[in-house]
Amino acid sequence: MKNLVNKNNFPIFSGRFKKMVYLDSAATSQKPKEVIAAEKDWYENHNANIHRGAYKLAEEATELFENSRQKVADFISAPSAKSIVFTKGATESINLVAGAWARYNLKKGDTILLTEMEHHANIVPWQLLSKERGFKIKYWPISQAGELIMSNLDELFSGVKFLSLVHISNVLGTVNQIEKIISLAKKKGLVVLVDAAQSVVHLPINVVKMKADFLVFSAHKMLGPTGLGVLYIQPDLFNQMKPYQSGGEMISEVGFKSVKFKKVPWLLEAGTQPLAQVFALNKTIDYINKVGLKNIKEHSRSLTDYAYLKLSEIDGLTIHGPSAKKRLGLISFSTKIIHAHDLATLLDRKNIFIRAGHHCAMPLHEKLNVPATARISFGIYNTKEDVDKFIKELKSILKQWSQPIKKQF
Amino acid sequence: MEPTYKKTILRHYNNPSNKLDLKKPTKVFSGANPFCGDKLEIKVKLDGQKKITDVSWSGDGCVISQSSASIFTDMIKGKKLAQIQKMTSAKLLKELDINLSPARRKCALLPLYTIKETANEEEE
Ligand SMILES: Cc1ncc(COP(=O)(O)O)c(C=O)c1O
Repeated sequence: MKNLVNKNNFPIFSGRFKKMVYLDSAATSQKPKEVIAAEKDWYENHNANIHRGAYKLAEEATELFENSRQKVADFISAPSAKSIVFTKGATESINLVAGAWARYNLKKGDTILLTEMEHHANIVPWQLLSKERGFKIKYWPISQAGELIMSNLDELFSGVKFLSLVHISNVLGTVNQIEKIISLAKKKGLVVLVDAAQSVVHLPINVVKMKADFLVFSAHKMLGPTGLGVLYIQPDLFNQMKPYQSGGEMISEVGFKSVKFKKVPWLLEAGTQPLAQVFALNKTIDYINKVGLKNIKEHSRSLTDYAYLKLSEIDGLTIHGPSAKKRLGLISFSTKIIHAHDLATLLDRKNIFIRAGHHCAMPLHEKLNVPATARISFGIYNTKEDVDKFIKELKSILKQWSQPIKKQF
Repeated sequence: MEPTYKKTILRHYNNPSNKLDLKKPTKVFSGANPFCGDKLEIKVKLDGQKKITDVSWSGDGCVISQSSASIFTDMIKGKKLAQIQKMTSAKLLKELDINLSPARRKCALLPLYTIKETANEEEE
């Protein structure tokens, strides 16, 4: 297994935490120096507010901002840059769809379909909205193996107007068969939102091929800046979008008593945008394209396969979710020998950083019948050695803790 | 390197006090840690003066939450319930005597917040 990139291209790996084995990229990814430099470059060379000034710096800033929108559109193969709305993250993108689309385009009694493997970000906005507007929520069940159950879809889809589902589960690692699911859902006239927060950094996304109506992701999980997210909107739905937040930038004309709005995407971008971050996202995509999403996918594939194999060889350890080939980028597990939190604390002592808890998916953990799981997840900078170090320490902790603990006194 | 978990903590984890099922409790408290999903139930028997005459607890969780439940239930026996519900986080943390990150503090404080019947959020 070859290393994909030089870890030293990510400054955090040569700073205070030089020795860390970072296995929590599903929570947030580390940043390449190109992305860090881009934010600085914005403030040093380009900073002015966009769509406002009639001077060189501001006009250039506007152009750079709109170029970034085009870059994001190309990145997910969206035919038009107008489909790209900047938000503060995947969470806000989903809230935006709830508040500016579903609120006005679903009717009382309509059913929203979610899956049992959703992140809280794709559950709670729908629960709140449904309570307010009288929508119903139904959950698409998953199998023991952590996959969506694909039988009886006619019955499942009946009465459903809107489906919101995750592409890659942040707990199970399951890669949902998104194209197949959407094409079946479209036959029943459903509008579909895809939560691509975990997938966008592991595999190429093509919104046209996928036929998504909405697609959301966060820049910070894909090597990019924090505080920035993306919402893709399929052009047929532009006219159905109502204002989300209101104020400056999203209007075309304001009188004391009346207001005219701009069109999508500007309609949905009220106030001054995270300009430096949008610029840095542009450079993030350049960086990803340089490494190549195909290579990234292959790298994630081999790390996932390798870690899965190594974990499955350990006695008394349960891996949650499907087999290695049906998942990408992450593995959650638990053991009766030690609680996930204690494990994370002990690994932390060895500078190995993993996630422990319910990973913002409490309903899923209820289904799995475990209060907390431990999760390792990979970024493009991770190596086989990282997995080896982790497995070695994990084994030694499990060995120590499976002996009667009295011996430790 | 200093051990991650002190001996007293591990001793309580292995041999927890009061991890029983009290019959006919006067009051039952249940709490959950929003950070990890661990759940805890504490049962108490009160006398006429609302003094805790007996206590038991149940729940699964990490070393910190389990040993804290054990130590905490030892601490509160014989005390007035109202007085215990006023106990500060600092007092329990001092009793546990371990260095905890803010996230793991939530594990340690679960028993206290269960009895206070408030969310597991440390007071300012
Ligand atoms: C599947 C999934 N959806 C949504 C989110 C929310 O992303 P953010 O917190 O960046 O808005 C996450 C992040 O943890 C996620 O893993």
